[in-house]
Formats: sequence, C-alpha cells, structure tokens
Amino acid sequence: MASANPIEIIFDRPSRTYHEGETIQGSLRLNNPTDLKHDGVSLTLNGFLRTFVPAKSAIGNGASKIQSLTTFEEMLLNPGKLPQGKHEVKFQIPIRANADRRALLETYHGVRIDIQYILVCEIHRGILAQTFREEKEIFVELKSEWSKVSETKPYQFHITPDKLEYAKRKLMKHVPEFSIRGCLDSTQCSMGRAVQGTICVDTCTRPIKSVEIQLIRSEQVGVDDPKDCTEVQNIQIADGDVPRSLKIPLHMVLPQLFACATIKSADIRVEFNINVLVILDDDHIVAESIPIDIYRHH
Amino acid sequence: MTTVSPYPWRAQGPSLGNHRLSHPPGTWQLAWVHPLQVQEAKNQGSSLPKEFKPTQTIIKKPVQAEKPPRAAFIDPLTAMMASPEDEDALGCVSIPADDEMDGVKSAESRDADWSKSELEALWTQLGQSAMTYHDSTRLLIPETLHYILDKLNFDDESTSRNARLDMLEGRQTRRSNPEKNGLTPKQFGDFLDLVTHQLSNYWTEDKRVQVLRLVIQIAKILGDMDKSGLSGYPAFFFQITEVLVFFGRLVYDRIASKCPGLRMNFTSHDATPQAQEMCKNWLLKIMSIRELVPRLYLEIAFMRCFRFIDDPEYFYKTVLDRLTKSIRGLSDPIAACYLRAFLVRSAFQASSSSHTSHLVSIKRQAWDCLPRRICDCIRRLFNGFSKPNFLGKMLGTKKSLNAVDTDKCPAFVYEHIFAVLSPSLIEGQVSHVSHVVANCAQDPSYSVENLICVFGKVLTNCYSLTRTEKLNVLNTIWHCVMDIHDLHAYLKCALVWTEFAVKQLQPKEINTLLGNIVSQTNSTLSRDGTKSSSDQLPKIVQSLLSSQDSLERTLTLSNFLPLFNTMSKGSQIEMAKILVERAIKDVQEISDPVLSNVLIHLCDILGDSINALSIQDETRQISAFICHVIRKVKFEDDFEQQLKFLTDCRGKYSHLTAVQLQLIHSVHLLAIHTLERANGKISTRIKGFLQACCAFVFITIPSIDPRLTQVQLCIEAAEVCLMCRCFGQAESSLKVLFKTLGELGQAHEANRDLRERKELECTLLGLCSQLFSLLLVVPDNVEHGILYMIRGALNAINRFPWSLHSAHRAELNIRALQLLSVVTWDDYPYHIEGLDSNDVLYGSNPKFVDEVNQISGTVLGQVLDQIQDLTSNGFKKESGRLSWQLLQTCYGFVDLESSEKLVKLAQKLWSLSKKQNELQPQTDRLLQEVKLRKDERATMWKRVLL
Repeated sequence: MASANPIEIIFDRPSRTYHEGETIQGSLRLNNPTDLKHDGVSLTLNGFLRTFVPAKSAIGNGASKIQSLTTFEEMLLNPGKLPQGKHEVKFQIPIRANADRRALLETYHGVRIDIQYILVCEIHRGILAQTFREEKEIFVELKSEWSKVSETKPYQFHITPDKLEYAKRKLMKHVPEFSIRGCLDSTQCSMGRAVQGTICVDTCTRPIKSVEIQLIRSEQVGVDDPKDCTEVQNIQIADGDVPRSLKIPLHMVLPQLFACATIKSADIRVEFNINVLVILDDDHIVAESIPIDIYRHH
Repeated sequence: MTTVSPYPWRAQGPSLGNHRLSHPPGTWQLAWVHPLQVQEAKNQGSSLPKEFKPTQTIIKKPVQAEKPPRAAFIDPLTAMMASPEDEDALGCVSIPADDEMDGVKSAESRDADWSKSELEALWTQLGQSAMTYHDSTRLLIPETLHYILDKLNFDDESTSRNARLDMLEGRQTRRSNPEKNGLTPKQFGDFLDLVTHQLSNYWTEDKRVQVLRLVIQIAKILGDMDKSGLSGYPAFFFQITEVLVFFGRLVYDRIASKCPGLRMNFTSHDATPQAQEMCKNWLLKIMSIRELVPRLYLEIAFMRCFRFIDDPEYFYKTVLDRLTKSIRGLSDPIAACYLRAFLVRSAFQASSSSHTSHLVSIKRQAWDCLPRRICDCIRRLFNGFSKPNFLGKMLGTKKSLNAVDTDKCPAFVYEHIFAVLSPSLIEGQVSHVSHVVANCAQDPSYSVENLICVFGKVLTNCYSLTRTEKLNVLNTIWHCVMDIHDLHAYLKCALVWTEFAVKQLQPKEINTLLGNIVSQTNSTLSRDGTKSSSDQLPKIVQSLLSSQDSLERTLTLSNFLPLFNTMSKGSQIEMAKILVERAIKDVQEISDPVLSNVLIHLCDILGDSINALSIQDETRQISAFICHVIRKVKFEDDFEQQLKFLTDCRGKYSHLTAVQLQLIHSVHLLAIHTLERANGKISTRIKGFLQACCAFVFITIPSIDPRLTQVQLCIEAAEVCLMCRCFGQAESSLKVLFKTLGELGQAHEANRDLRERKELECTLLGLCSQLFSLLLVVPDNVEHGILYMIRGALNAINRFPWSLHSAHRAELNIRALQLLSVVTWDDYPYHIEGLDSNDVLYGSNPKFVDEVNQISGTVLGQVLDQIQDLTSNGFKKESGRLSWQLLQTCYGFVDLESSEKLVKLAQKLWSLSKKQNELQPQTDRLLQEVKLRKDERATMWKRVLL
C-alpha cells in the first residue's frame, strides 16, 4: 500500500509551458485504495538557477551555487482524512519572480548552468509514515525583447583551403583542394523553429565521409570564468561522398530543454554557435563556426 | 489484451472488428483500410485486429493467381515513371538547361489518375519480386540487434548435427552462424517478425524510448547496407520499410487516440492539445536523431502525423520539399533512390487527391540529381527510352547535346542510352556523338570501354553512313581504344569495332585494325609476362569469318597470321579447325601462295596437336582436314614445287597414316599428270622428276601400317613406275611386294580369328589377281631368267599360309594358268605405252614357250592336288566349283590337241562338274555353245563333252 503513489498532477496545458505572469492551473488527482489519514497536502513551486564552477586546481570539486528564482508554497488540503477512492483538488499557482530577484529565466538544462522550475506535491503523514511525493517539472518561457527579432540576417560562408586557420603549419601539406559554399537562412534563430540553410560542396578532391551540423553552447558563469563550450547536438546532413555542386539543405531543430534564448547577463552568459562540419575520409574535419542568437518568437 | 501487428492482412480469424475489408483477407492488397475513411475512429487503443499470430514469412505469395511475381525486377522509380506508351510523360525527367520538358503538364494530369491502391499494388508486387530475385544475398545484422537474433531459431539440420559434434569436441558452434554469415531475405523476414513482436511488446508496456531505439537501429541497417557491398538491397528494403510503416501507424494511432471523436477530414484545429503536444514531442525526438538515414526514414514514416499539427498545404510546401532535398545528402545512389521511393509512396499514402500537384513537383525534384555512379535503376529506366520522340529531344539538336555534356549527363548514362538506341537515330549525329564519346574517355573516373563497345554495336547496324564518316568515327574511337591499358577491356572494344569494320569497311582498314590489335596485345603480353588466356582473340577471328568477303581474302590479310599466332595454343587449334573446315568448303583450288601458306600453317598447327594421347576420332578428323588441304593445293605448272611440297608434308605429318596415304596417291597423280602433259616428249628433267616421284613412293610405302595396304600400294606403285618407265623402280616395288606378302603370311599364320582370316584371304585373292594382270606386261629381266616375276609371284602365293580347306590358292593358281597362257601369245591384249613387254622381247620363242609350259604343268599339278584334297575331305562343292573353273580355263586357253592327257583331264573335269547340280545351267550353256561351234578346235571339245 505504501509503495503505490496515489498522486497525479494534471496541468491544464499538456505542454506544461508557461510564461512569466501566467498562472499554472491544474488539478491534483489522488487515488488512494484505502482511507488515507494525512497531515496536510502541500504544493510547492521551486524555481532555481544552479551554477557549477569546476575546480581551478586538480584537487577538490567544483563549487555549486543555487539561486532561487521563484518560490511559492501552498497548502492545498488541511490535515484530515481522505476516504478511499479518487479525489481531485484544483490548484492555481502564479509564476512570478521573487521580490528580490531579477526577472525569471527560461528553463534550461545545461552543463554548468541549470535553470529548472519544479512543482512538488507532498502528502505529509507525520513522522513515522512515509510522505507521498510527486514532482513535475514545468517549463517557463520568456518572450524575447529584442527589437531586431523580426530581422533575418542570412549568413553566407565559403570555405576554401586558404581561409582555414591552423594550429600548426605542418597540417598545410595534407589539405586537399576543396571549395564548399553554404548559407544559413538567418543567424537569428527562433526557439520553436529550426535552424535552416543550405550547403553545397563545389569541389573536393578527397572523398567526404560526412557533413554534419552541430549546435554548440558556450556557458560562462561570472566574468572571470572562462567560456565552456560543449556540444548540444549533432545532426548528420550528408552521409558518404556527396555529389558535387548539389545544394543540400541544412536543417536542425533546436532542442527544447538543452537550448534556450541567448542569455547575456552579468552573472551568467549562455550563447550558442552553429558549426558546419565536413569530415573527409581521412578523418580530417573542415569546419565553419557561426555564432547565432537564439530568441523566442511569439 | 490487444496486441498490435504491422501486417493486419495477416490476421487469421474474422476478428477484424467493424472494419469492412476492401479485399479478402490473406491477399496482398492492403486489407486494412484507414479507419478514418470508413467511420469514426475507435477510442480504445489500437484499431487493429485483436488477434495477431505472426506467420513465418513477411511476404507470401498472393492468393489470386492472376498476378504472379515478375521475374524481372522493375524498381519503383521506373514504375512510377510513365509507362512506355506515354512518351510525353517522360518529361518528368528534368534535363536541365532546357525548356524542352513540355511534358510536365500531361504528367500532372496523369499522376492525378494514379490512385493509392494502384501504388500499393505496385509496391507489394515489387516487394515480392525483390524477394524472389535476391534470394541468395546475405545481410549482416548489427551487434546492437543481436539480442533479438539470438531468439531466432534456425532450423538448419546440419546445425543441430554439427552442433552436437562440436559440443562433443568442445568447440563452439560456428556453423550457420547468423551473426557472422548474415541472413538471407527469408531469414531476415523471420528476424523482422521478431523485431515487430518486440516492438509491440515495448509499445504495450509503454516503453517508448526502447521502441524508438529499436526502430532507429532497424532503419540504420538500410543506411549501412551499401557499405557492405550488398546487391540484394531491394529485398531488405521492402521488409524494413514495412516495419517502419508499422511504427508510423503505431504512433499515429496513439496520437489519434488522444483525440476522441475525430472526424474524417480533420484539420489541425480539430486536434486536442494533448494530441498536438504528443505529436510535437515525437517530432522533436525524431528530428534529434543524429544519423541521416534513420532520421529521414523515421521522418517519412511519421509523415501522416503532421496532420495534427499543421495544415497540409504548409506540409507539402515545406516539409516534403525539405525531405526531398535532404535525400541528396545520401551519397549512395541506390540507397537514395529507394529512400525517394519510400518518400513518394508515403506521401501518396498520407495525402488526399487534391495534393497531387505537389507530389509531382516532388517527383521532379527527386529526379533532379542523376547520381554519378552506375545505378541499377537508371539502367532500367532507360529501357523506356527507346521511343524516337524522346531521343529526338535528347539528341536532336546539337544545342541540346551540348547541354547534355559530360558534367550533366555522365558517360554511363550515354552507355545505357546507346544500349537501347536504334541506329537510325544516330545517323545524322555520328561525328558529334563520337566526339562526345571521346570526351568521355578523358574522364578518369569512368572506364570508357563499355561505352565504346555499346557505341560500336549501335554503329555496326547502321548502314547508311558514308565512307568518310565511318573512317572518321573509327579513327576517333580507335584513339580512345588505344589508350585503354587493361588488355581485357581493350580486347572487348577491339572485338566490337572489328565487327564494325568487317561489316562496314574494306579489308584494308580491317587489316590495319588487326595490325594494331596484334601489336598492342603482344606488347602488353610481353610487358606483363603472362600468357594471354582470354577468349577475345578467337572471337575476333570468328568475327572476321563472318565477313561477306570470301574466306580467301580474309585469310590473306597480312595481319591475319600474326593475330592468329597471338592466340593461346588451345584456341589456335580450335580456330584452325574451324578455318580449315570453312576453307575446304569454300575454296576449290588453292593456288595463291599466301593463302596456301596460311592454310599450311593452320594444318601444321592441327598436325602438331595430335600426339599419342589424342583420341582416335580427333586424329581421323584432323587427318581428313589435312588430306583435303593437300589435295587442293596446286602449284599450277611447277610440278617440282609440288613434289617438294608433298615431300615437306610427308616429313611434317609422318605420324598421320591417312595423310601419308594421301601423299602417295597425290604423288602418283602428279607423276601421271606430268607424263600426260609431257605428251610423249620426256626430257631428262621430266625423267628425273618421275624417278623422284617413284622414289618418294618407294620410300613412303613401308611406313604405312597395315600390310595389306602396303601390298595394294606396291601394286599401284609398280604400275605407275612402269608407266613412268622407271623399270628398276618397278622391279624393286614388286620385290618389296613379295617380301610383304611373306611378312603378311607370317602374321596370317599366327592369326586365329576365323573371320579376319577369311576377309584377308578374300582381299588377297582380288589383289593377287590384279597383280597377275600387271605381271603380264612386266618385261623380263635378262639376268634373272624367264618369267622371273611371275614365278616369284607364284612362289609367294603358294607359300602363303592359306586357310586349310579353302579354295583360294587353287583359284589363284587357275588364274595363274590363264596368265601363263596369255604370256605365250604373240600380241598381248594390252601394253603400257613405251614399254616392251615379253611378247616383243620373246616373240613366242619356242624355248620360251616350252619354259612356260613347264611352269604351267607344275601349276596344273598343284591345282589338281588341291582339287583332290578337297574332294577327299568331303568339300564336294568346292572341288566341283574349282573343277568347273579349271574346265573353263581349259576351254578358253588350252589347246586340247597337244596332249592326250589333257583330253582325259578335260573329261574328268567335265564329269566332276556335271555332278554339281548348281552348276547345271552353266554346264548346259557350255554344251550348247560347243554344239553350235563349227571350227576345228570345237571337234575336240565335242568329243570331250558329249
């Protein structure tokens, strides 16, 4: 009896996505097989920003800091007894920032930076009995405020051997002749949409193994911290030695959780890059790195 | 518990719920009709039948017999292209840079007619034929899926037997290891059955992540297959796409279940937020798959679900467009083509009829990039390109030809075009086309020999080219051919173009061509050091034979022999046989020295090929060929040359008896001809020649194997020698003859086979009679006494071990008596010209006649002994016959008045003869004749007989 979790949280929006200022409406569905005596049913919304800074030296773990963005607690049901069967309790929770805090941030799961909003429902049953707990994450989106949001800035690129930057001069000998042209439809990318463009391999003397498009995030916590670039996702555009002079579309849908609108604030910066990679058969990679701005469009 | 199945038409029972089936169950038509088209969707779970029993094979034969699986595989894209009857619809193929695609509009209208069911039927048909066509290819399953593979039981008998054996020996079972060896299409079908079963399990357990992972792995197989060099792609493609479609259906149903009460032509507004959310989630998951192939396949499988979130217009404009273009990223053309096919089919399935215009544009884009490498479907595509109009478009104007240059229309496309081209279309364009072909040869990535061969084949049948055109084309193309380094490829092209030259050009050009072939082949062989074992060269030679020119002209081409000698030994012998046989049939007389050289060379090769191990029939055949050739070779007036030739032949073919025989006869003929032509004026030169001939024969005879043939030949030789006035030779021949008879006798004595003995003796009888006829005219040699030869013959005959109780010896002696009688005549009945026989020499000298009488007496005695012997031993018939013969001889040749004994003898003989009943008619006849005779001699006979 104790193992079955009777709590089910239902939201009015199946996508569980809300904006600042909106109210989460939903209901708790309790389904207890027997009579339940409880000490109260509480509902808490916890929104926080968690940052992680790795250790500067080899010894020691990094520091992890949690800042609360929003906290809201409500006692839905006073202590009492729940008869057997199904019960439904409606709730409403507003989404607003804490008073001291600045504006809310979008939900984002990153490597160093985590922004999450979690709704927790608990049925307290005293000290001895186990507390029933159910948590669900909700997603907060913020409208982007830039004025230039509606502009599209296409980005053209043309990769040739002379435009490459090398770490070592030695590699110059192994570079084959190639000419790769492409363009991104816009460097301003919308969160709900996909990053689109085209790529065209005009010539390449070596066979190509793969053409990929990569989404890179760079996170920075604080001013002193160096940027940490990691890959979010990698989508293969072409498999094998592609025909030359053929326009192949680039298309990558931005992930919901692992990307967010570009954040450039005092204490955290989350920026994104698109890398277009052409991997040759000898595993050399020709890449073009394009910085993009992600915004949320409504 | 409801189970789900991808193959609803496999449901056994009638439990298909409320769905009306448009086709009876168990058939291949899509039995399951979209629920939204029939009625409202059910709310609870899947609308698929409740009972699902997976059958063993995914694809089974159709129930109705009208549609048997086609043996020839037609890939879906060709099938989707317009059928060959509708030429305008070929405008679907976008040939860039030109507005000549006026066929697009009609293509549109045509596609609107294409119903979904037609497409489905076609799809299933192709699936079946793919299964039967690619039955033997094997597919390796990736390791991630091995856990399903292990569940598969391979009911291989050998596996179980060998498994036990291996177990006993402590080895791991390795046989028929599917992980190592791969699965056949049939086994793969079983495997996929298990996969779908697993998918259904995961789905009902709500393990969506596992479902997705499994489906991705399955789709990945299609992307990785090309790298393993698999040729059976279609078979696996059809099976895997079924699984993907099944997955798509699962997702669709689940989303649809979130929208209760959905109407038939619902739009995205009708969808509930939950459904949309779910759809978007699935889409996001699919779009984040890294690998291209599984992502595209899943996106396509997912296509139907787009209805929930977007309106179809948007969908077709953007999503389908993007998908079509994304397929360009697939480098393997086969995989790309099949992916496109899947795209088109799924798009058709997901759409309603109002959206076909968009689909046409997809199809056009799908054809926008012709893949560079040789592709199976392209080849079949061109089967439909034999229509004149289309080709007129393609090759009609130079402009369009230039547009279709190497970049846009690569060489291999030309190759396939030419394969179906009819020659009349190329006529006006020949030089241009040949330049295009030459350009294609510049392309280092393409081996041009196929193109050249195909081009050559087309031109060979093209009869209306002018001579200059032909020469130009040949020059252009031959330059390309000469650049080909691989000998085999070179010879392939050379073969085709030799045929062209043979049909279209003069021998001079053929000769040059052959010369080039020879030099190229030789230089390559000497460079590589390997023996040419190709069969191309004999084919080239055979193609030469098919020329309309006479064989003589072909064989006398100066480069023919070098070409012939370049072939390998075995092929030389084969070709030599064919050539000689042809020559024997076609050529009557071989007087041209070049031709005779060639033929003799061929005969030499044939002769050399006979050794101790050759079979008898082969020997006989080749000997016959050589004899024919020898007979036909004539040197006109130069008889010495001819004799020299025959002598050479004797040396070369010493191991072939039949040839030696032929040579002897040829020499005889030669001698007699020469004699005739000399017309009585025998100069020293001719005499020498004739002696040489006789000497030839004399030397050759002992090497002939069967002694009996030697006997015959000796007689013939003696005749010829006498005619040639080489008396010495004639005598030697006769002496050899007697010696041979003696040897023959020795062999005969040892022979116990009765039938052979009888045969031999009969033959010998005839031969000796012939000998006697000859001996009549043989003049005596003074040194050796009277009738030396005849006496020698008689001795030889009498010494011969005739069979006991056979009458042959007696018969011969009787004939000898006849001979002896004629010998005494004044004038022999026949002479040899220029030879004085005994009648002239002796002139019926009394001494001579006495001598002859003595001999006759001896002979007669022998005959009488023989007859006595036979009578006493009971061979009455034989003795009777002999007596009759003797009597006849006496009647014809003997003068009864000379001796009383003879009269008594005659009477005795007469009585003996009369006793024989079968001789009665003959005796009566004799009696009649005697009665009628009125001369003196007859009186004596009358006294004897009556």
